[in-house]
Amino acid sequence: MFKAMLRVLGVATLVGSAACLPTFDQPNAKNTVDSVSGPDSVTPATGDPAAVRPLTPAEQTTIWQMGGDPALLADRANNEGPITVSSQRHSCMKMKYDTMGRLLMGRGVAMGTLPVMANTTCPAPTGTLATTSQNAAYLYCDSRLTLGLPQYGARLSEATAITSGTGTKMMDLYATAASGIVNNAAFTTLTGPNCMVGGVGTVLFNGDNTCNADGISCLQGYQASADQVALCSRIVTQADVTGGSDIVTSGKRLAVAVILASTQMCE
Amino acid sequence: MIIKARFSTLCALGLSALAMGCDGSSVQDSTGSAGSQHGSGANPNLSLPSYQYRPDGTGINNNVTAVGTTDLTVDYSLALRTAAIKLRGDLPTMAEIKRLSAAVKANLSDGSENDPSFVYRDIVKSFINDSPRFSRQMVVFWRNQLRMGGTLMGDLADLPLTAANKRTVSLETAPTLLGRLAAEGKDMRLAFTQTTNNCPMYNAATGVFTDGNCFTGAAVAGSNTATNMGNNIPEGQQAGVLTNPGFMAQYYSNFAFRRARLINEVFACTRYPAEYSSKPQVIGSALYSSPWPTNSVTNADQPPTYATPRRVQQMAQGVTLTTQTKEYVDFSLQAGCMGCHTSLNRRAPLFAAFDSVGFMNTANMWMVHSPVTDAPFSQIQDYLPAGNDTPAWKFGVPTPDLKSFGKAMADDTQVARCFMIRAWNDAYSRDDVVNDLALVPDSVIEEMTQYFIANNYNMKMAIEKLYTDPNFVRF
Repeated sequence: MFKAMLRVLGVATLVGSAACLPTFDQPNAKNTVDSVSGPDSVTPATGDPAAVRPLTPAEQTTIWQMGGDPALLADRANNEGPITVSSQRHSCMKMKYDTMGRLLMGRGVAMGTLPVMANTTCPAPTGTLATTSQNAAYLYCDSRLTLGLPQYGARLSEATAITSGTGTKMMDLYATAASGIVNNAAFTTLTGPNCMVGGVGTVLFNGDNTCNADGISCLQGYQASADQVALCSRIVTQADVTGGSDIVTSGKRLAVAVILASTQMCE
Repeated sequence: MIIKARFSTLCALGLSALAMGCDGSSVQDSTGSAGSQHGSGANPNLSLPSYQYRPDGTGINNNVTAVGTTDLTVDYSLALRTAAIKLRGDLPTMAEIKRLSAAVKANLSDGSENDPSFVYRDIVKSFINDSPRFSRQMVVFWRNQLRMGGTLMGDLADLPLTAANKRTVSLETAPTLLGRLAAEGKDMRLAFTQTTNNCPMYNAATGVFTDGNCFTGAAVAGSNTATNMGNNIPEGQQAGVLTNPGFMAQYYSNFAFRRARLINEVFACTRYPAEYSSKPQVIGSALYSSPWPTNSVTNADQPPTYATPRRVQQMAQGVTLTTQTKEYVDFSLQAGCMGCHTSLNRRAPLFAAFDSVGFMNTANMWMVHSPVTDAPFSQIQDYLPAGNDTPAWKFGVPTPDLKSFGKAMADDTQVARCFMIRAWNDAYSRDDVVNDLALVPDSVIEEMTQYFIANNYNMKMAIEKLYTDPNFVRF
């Protein structure tokens, strides 16, 4: 009798505990995504699309048939919103290796012979590599693999993502190019072929050492904003002095490097 | 309740193929949904500031609301930069930037130099009509899609693996063929159906394409290590890129599976399985979703027979090897192989006679290996059972030869859609649709696809539409 009671009690306990187990019930579908908290949270700027909605069955079918790993896709959908939205927005593709060379040459940097290919013989370094800074042409050629020269022999296309190594090397390249991109004696005017309008170069630094919007526009390839001009001018006056240079010249070089590095990583 | 919730979970994971009837409706073809909305400049699921697209060609009115709100998502200047990089391979010139900037400041909609939409479109058209540079960009685009460039050295035919039997092949002609078709506004279906002049060359310095034939006429015995081999298929019998020697060489592999896989991934934009049944079945632990009957490929239930000895690669000069092995690869249904291999095994045999430098053996001696003991050269019974061994592009689309295979691809809407998906992903700086799962839903790409088809598969026209679309100038 006692054993029978224990059995009944045991069964009741199991049933009771089962009722307390977590279920996979999902909340009802909503028209908006809850704000993400924590270090990765971002407050949407005005005008950003905020609304997302569950995928329609038709979209799910497309994703399932075209995709593969549903966990990966679900994670991506959570981060980026529905694929109908994310697929219509511009992303950041690494600047192609050949394009990097052309854009620097078009802005006035001496880049040697382009295009540089896998079998191209690079220009000889200046002085001792460990102690002498090199020009952009050398860096561009010698670092071709890090900068993303495509490896078709390995059946790989040119990388579309910027790795930490590639990004660092691109910043090195743009910093090096900054010294040669403004090459008139007064260090004020962009005279590269793509910065000339009617035979006249584009002013990058005004007479009072502030930045000029046109010059920034030519460096970055699109119209500069007032905020960018102000920030550029601030960099010019607040840079540290490097050996053999004055504070303004160092600042100007730094400003050019910052503009290039911040705008010419992505296509 | 719980069942419904669990269906919802499946739906959230994109598993609607299993969770039939999500939200009370059956799974259906997504083609055509919301496509027209995209074309009108509206994204059906975006909550964007008010704007109005005027279909008369004068673009977006930035001041349509009562309070004159500017649509901050429109940025012609940034769009011009991206378009210049993609279509010309360089940033816009200062003159172009100034011209557009002046129009943006004026912000009229009169089709004049004061109309930013007009000026933007005009400059983009100039990029596309800048033939040397646009041609270069198209060749580069296809180099990256095909992952081909330079040259490759491999072993010729089934000759002994010695240095004297090495040959080279150009990996430039296939991307040049596709780049030329795109840059010159030709019918892109010619990529699979063109019977001659399939190995053009491109001069990067001048931006000029020159005709080139893949059939060099060089016989195996008459070639040497300096010979750049062709495909050994006479002009008139070729099938565009499908018979390109470089393409065949770059994707040489056992069973020619890598070739068949790449053709699907690059030109149909999907991984395998390449085909789906309307009624998938769960068999064992695997989902069988192929439309082909089970057991329609070689497997243990219907093992192949071989006339022995089987051909084996000669490893050295003067040493002829054969093998008596009866081993074969079991494309098992229970192990889940057939879902992909019912399609793959019907495509790969068409490419099995090309050797590692893309030279085709016209005596039907196959040049790819079966990965069993001694690695004999493959035969048709390695792929398909006797009596059911006709190659095919898809279920119900038999393709006994390469020309019919190319025709079937050219007729497939998914291939047309794939051209547009690849152009779209490049324009929007997105990753690869297959390798990186940068998917573009049918509802988004359908309008471009229909435009592409309606304009005789002219990729140049489609690219102009893509880069001047109201959606492209929004960030």
